[in-house]
Amino acid sequence: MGTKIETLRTSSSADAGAKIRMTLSIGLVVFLAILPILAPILHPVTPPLTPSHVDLTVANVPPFTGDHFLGTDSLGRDVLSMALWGARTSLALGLVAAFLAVSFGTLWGAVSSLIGGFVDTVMMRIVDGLLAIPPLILLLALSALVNGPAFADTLPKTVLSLLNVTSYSLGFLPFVTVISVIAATSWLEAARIAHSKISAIQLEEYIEAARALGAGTAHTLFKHLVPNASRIIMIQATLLISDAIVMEAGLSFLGLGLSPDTPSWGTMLRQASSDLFLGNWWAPLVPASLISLTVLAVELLGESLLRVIGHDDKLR
Amino acid sequence: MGGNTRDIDPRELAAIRSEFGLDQPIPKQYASWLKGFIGQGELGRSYQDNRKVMVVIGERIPATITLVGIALILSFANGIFWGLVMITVRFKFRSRLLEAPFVGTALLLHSVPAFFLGLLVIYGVTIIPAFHSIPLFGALRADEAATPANLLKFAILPALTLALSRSAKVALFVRSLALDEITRGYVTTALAKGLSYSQVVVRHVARNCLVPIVNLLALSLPSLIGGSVLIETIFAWPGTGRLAVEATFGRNFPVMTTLVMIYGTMVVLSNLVADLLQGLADPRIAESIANNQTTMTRARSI
Repeated sequence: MGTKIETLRTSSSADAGAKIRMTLSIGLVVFLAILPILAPILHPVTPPLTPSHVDLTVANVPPFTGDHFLGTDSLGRDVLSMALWGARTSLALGLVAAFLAVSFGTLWGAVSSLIGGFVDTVMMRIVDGLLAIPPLILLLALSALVNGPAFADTLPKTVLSLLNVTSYSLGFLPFVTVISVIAATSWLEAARIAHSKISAIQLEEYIEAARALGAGTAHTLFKHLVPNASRIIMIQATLLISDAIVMEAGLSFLGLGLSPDTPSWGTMLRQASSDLFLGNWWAPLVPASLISLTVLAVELLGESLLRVIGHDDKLR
Repeated sequence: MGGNTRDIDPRELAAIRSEFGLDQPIPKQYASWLKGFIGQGELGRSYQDNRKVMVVIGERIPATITLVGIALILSFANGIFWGLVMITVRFKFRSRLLEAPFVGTALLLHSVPAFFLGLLVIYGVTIIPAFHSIPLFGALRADEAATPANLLKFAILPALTLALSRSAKVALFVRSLALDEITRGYVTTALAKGLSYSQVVVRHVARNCLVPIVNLLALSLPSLIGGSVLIETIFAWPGTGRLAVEATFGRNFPVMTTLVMIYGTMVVLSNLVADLLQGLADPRIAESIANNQTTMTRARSI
């Protein structure tokens, strides 16, 4: 029994588990990254295999039959094509929203930490106050502000033409508003992490040395503070990607997300969820599993990366 | 909708705007809202039916508290049990393989979007005849007696869905805490004294994981409330989550602002409760607070 406890104590089995998780998550990330690239190759922009090609004669075709590898939904649209083209929307949305949220959050946290004193307190209390509101509720409150044609009316003409907004279509406007709303809800955690990390780094001697050598605030911020905090911030960013994709799915499910003609995993799931009760399980299952896979991949990757960083921190 | 404003008589529009104070600059609107709230506890009226906001929200709150409360209890009861089962299997048989199905299920449930889980639950109930007596949507009708059994019958599906994905998260959390804990010396001692693996896990390991679990309890509230928005919509549950969605679509800002405020207060209060519960879970924390130690020194002394 003694040996058993010894094997439990040594970290080799934990390391093996960590390695499996790391490999699995990287495999999943590569798989997910290939999907949007495959879209135009496997399913070109010509019917009948385009994501928005409606053909009621082939509605609810089960998977692995005829032309439709993953079957069709209740409107006869090809599920595989929607999933591939939807991957472009969903992943792009996740990446852009996470990038915006992390950039703004880092800047907020860094500036707050650099200024210090009363301003620091006020800036971080704003973040804490907003963090007390459940994210989805904040998301809804912001969506109420920027949703629909009423909001489009308030925008200047040049912006509208840039976003392809016409009297009968909102163009890219839903995409932009959904991204902004998600980014506006998810920068808070990034700001807090950046703030605590940068506050800690500021006490290090090399920052003092840089300042003594005459480095200005901007130089210290972008050459020393942000690069040294970047690892933990990048991990936060990866986590935000899957958060954003899930948020988009939730918003689209409520009818506050992208317009139904834009293929994304969220809009697919919204429309296909009623198909479930027609006995069509494959149409909702595909986007749901892709969203789940993304969450799983990002979660495992984030966990593995944190472990790697933890090691690194101990080495220093 | 923007389209409607074009068809309305401009004078009428201006009159309505000034009646609700919407022609004022936003800082001024905020100041008058704040004055009404602090001075008279007045939160305005719902744009949709002109009733007082607190009345509109007040009639929805019991349903949400029932749902979130049941889900919170279910998810922690189930999650802690599940986590301890995983750790006991891992501990006793020294096998990743035996533990893998439990971990896999937890990871799966954790990553599936909650609303899709809700749809699967509804689908499952419709295709399994034994479950047909469970009501799928809504809450009590006016002619039904509000007995606990009746209430529970309606709450069971939405609460179960809400609890499922959360309990997976709790289970994984408990597992990772306990994994660190079972390498400690006191575990070896307990085993040497002749306790069985499950006894060690339940009596010693679980207790030492209590403080972070209590912390997670408070942190769970925002995500459960967020989840309840979608779950209430799917199951037509008459709670505040669905009200928030309705208010979003109706651009019913007085209701929305009040809801945001109420939710924020709930989260802050739950954090306070968690801090107090931590003292119960670990008397050292309560003692250090009583001795007026700061957080930093407290962390060092533990």
